[in-house]
Amino acid sequence: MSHPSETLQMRTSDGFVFHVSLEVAQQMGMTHSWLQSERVGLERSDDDDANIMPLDRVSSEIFRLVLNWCHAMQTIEKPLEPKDKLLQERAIFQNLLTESNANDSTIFELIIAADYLNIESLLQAGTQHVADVINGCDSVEAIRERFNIMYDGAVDN
Amino acid sequence: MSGRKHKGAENIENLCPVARKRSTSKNGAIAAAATGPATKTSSVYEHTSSPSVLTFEALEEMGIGMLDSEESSSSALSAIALAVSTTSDENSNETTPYANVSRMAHQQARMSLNSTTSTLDNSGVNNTIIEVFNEDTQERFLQQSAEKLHVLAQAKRTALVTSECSSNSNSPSKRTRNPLATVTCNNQIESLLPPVPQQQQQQQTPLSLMPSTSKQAVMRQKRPTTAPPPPQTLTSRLAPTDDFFVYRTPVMSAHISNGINYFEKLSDEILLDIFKWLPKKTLLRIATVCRRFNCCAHDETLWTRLDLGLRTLCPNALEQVVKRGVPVLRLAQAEIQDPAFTCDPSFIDFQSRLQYLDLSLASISLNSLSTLLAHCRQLKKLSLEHAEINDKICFEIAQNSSLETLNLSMASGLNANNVGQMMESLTKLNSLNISWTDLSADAVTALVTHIPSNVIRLNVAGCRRVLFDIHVVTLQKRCPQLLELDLSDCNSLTPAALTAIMKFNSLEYLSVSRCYLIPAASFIELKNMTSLTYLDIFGMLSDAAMEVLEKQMPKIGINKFIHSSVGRPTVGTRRTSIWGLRTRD
Repeated sequence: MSHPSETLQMRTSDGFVFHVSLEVAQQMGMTHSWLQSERVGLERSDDDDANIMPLDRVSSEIFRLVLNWCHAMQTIEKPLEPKDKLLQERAIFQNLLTESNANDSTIFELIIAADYLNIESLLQAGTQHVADVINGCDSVEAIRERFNIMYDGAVDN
Repeated sequence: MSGRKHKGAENIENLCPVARKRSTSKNGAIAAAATGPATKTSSVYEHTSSPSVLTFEALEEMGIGMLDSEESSSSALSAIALAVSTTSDENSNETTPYANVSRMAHQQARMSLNSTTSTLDNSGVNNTIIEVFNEDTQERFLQQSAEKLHVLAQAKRTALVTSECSSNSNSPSKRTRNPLATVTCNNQIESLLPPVPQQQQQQQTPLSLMPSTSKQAVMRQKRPTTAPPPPQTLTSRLAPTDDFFVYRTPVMSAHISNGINYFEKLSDEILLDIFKWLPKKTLLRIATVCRRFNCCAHDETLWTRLDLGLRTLCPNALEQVVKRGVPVLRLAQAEIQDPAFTCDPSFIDFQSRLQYLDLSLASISLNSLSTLLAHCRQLKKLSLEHAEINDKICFEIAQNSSLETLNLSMASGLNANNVGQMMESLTKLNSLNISWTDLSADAVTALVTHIPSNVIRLNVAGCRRVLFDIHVVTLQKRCPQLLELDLSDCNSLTPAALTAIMKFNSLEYLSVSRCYLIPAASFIELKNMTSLTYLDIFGMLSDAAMEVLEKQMPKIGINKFIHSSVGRPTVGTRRTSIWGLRTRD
C-alpha cells in the first residue's frame, strides 16, 4: 500500500513510529538532510524500513512534545516583528512546559532534541528558558543548587 | 566510654519508643540508638512546622511556603537545611542556630512519636550526615571504627548526655528548655570532622552528595582557617563555634531533584547557546559555578562587546576587562580609577584584542591610559575626545598601524612632535578629528606635512591664528581625495584658501564657519565645485545674504550641520553603538 506523500515516518529511540506530516517534518533541519540522502521514493510501502527516518537520540515522550511545538509553530500567523515573534515563541514554549508538567529532565531533553533535530526555534526557546532560570538565581550558590552542579574549584579572575 | 554509650542509649530509649523497642544488648543499643537518632535526625529534618526565624525568613525569601503539618515534605526540609546553612553563612553566631538545635532536639522526641520512619529506610540512615554534636565525642570519634552508625549514635547520645548532665532529665521538654544543652551542642560542631572521612566509605549514593559538596566547598573557601578534611564528598567542616550548620542528607537532596546535573548532558555548543542569552553580570557570576561554566563563560563569542559607559571602574578593573578580549569597548564618560593596571607599563604581558575603543570624555590618568594603549596594537577606531594625552600615549597610538579612525577632538597635550609621529605612522588613517586641540603653528605644519594620503575626512576646526592658507595648500597636495573638510574657526584663512580648496575634486562637505577673513562674495566661487554637496558657513552672512547665496547655489545644502561627526563614535542621541557597532547585547 503506497503511503501518501505528505506524511513522513519517524521512529524514535524507543521504537515508536510517528507519522508526521511533511510540513511539520520540514521544520526540522534534520529532515532535510535525511530526505536528501535517503530519498528512495516515498511511494514505496511503509514496510520498507529505509523510508522510516530514525531518530535515535529522541525518545517518544520528548518527540511528542517536539511535535506539539512544531504544530504550534505552524499556527503562528506570519509575518511578525522579530521581537513579537520571539515573545510568542516563548509563550508557546511556556505552555508546552506547563501542559506536560515538564521537569528539568524534560526541558533539557527538549533542548538536546531540538539540537539533534535541528529545530532552531525550539532550541532558542529552550535555551532562553534555561537562561531565564539561571538569571533568576540570586547567587552562585543558588545556581548550583538549582541545577545540582558540583563545585570543582572554578575561580573567576 | 562504653559506659557513657550505654547511658546514652538508655536516654535515647527513654525518649524514642522506636529505639526502645529495638534495643536490648549494648550493641543493639548502639544500633538502636544509631537508628534512633538517625531516624530522629531525619525526622527532624522532615519536620517543618517550627523552624527558626532564620530559616523561616530564608524560606520565604526562597519562595518556599511553610508547611504547617507535620507531614514532611522533604523538599521543604532540605530547603530548611539549605536555608539554615546558607543563612548561617551570612548571619553568623546568632542565637537562632542554637534555638534550632534545641527545637530540633525537641522535635526529635515529638517526631519520634509520630513519625513514620517509612519515608526513610536504613540506607538513608547510612547516608545521613552531621548535625550538631558534642565536643566530648570528638576524641572518642577519632578512635572509633568507620561505622557511621556508631558515630552518629555516639554523637547523638553524647549530645543528649550533655543535656542530660545539665538537667538530669530525659524529658524532651526539659531538654528543650535547658539552655546549656543548646550552648554545648553548638560549641561542638567541630567534633564530627575527623570521623567523617571514614563515613564516606559507606556512602551508597555518591550522586546526591554533590549539592552538599558544593555548598561546603564554598563555605570552605570562605573560611580558610578551618582545616578541610582530605578529599571527600561528604559534608563536614570545622565550623567556627558560633555557627550552626545543618547538612543536607542525600536523601533530602534526592527529594529536591534527582541530584542529576543535566548540564552534563549538553554539549558545549548548546551551553554557549544558553549563555548567550545572559547579561554580562550573570555571565561573570556563572563563571564561578564550576570549571566547565568557567571555560564556556570566557568563550570569546560571548564577549564581543562591552558597554561600560558612565560607569566607574575600580583599580585594576580595566585590566580585567581588557583581558576578556573584548574587541568592542565603550568607556565613554567612564571613570577609571588608578591604577588601572597591575603590570609595569614597560612590561606588557599580553596584547589585547581591542579594535574599537571609545574613551570619549572618560576620566583616566595619563599612566593608566598609557598602559592601556600599550596593550593595544590592533586598534581600528579610537576616540580620545577630551582626553589628556602625552608623548608616550601618542607613541602607543602610533603603533596601531591599522588605525582607521582617530578622534582627538579637544584633547590636550598635542605638540608638533607627537602629531608628526602619529601622522607618519598611521598610514591607514581615514578619518581624523583633531579639532580644538590648541595646536601650535608648528604642530599644524607637522600635521599637514605628514598626514597620510588615505585621509578622506578631516576636522581641524578651532586652529585660531595658527592655520594659514599655506597649510591648506599643502593639505590639498597631500590628500587630494578628501571628502570632508572642516576648517571652521580657523580665522586666519583668507580667500586664497578657497582657491586651494577648489582643487579638491571629490570634496563633498566643507565648513569654513566663522572664518571672518573670507568675504561673503567669495563663496559663490564654490559653485564650480561639482562634488560639493554641503557647505557650512555659520556666522558669516546675514540672513538676507544667505538667501541670496542659497538661490545662487541651489544644489548645495547650506548650514545643514552644526556639529561635525568626523571620527566621532556616537552622533546625536544614539548611545548603544560606537561607529555603527552595537555595544549593548
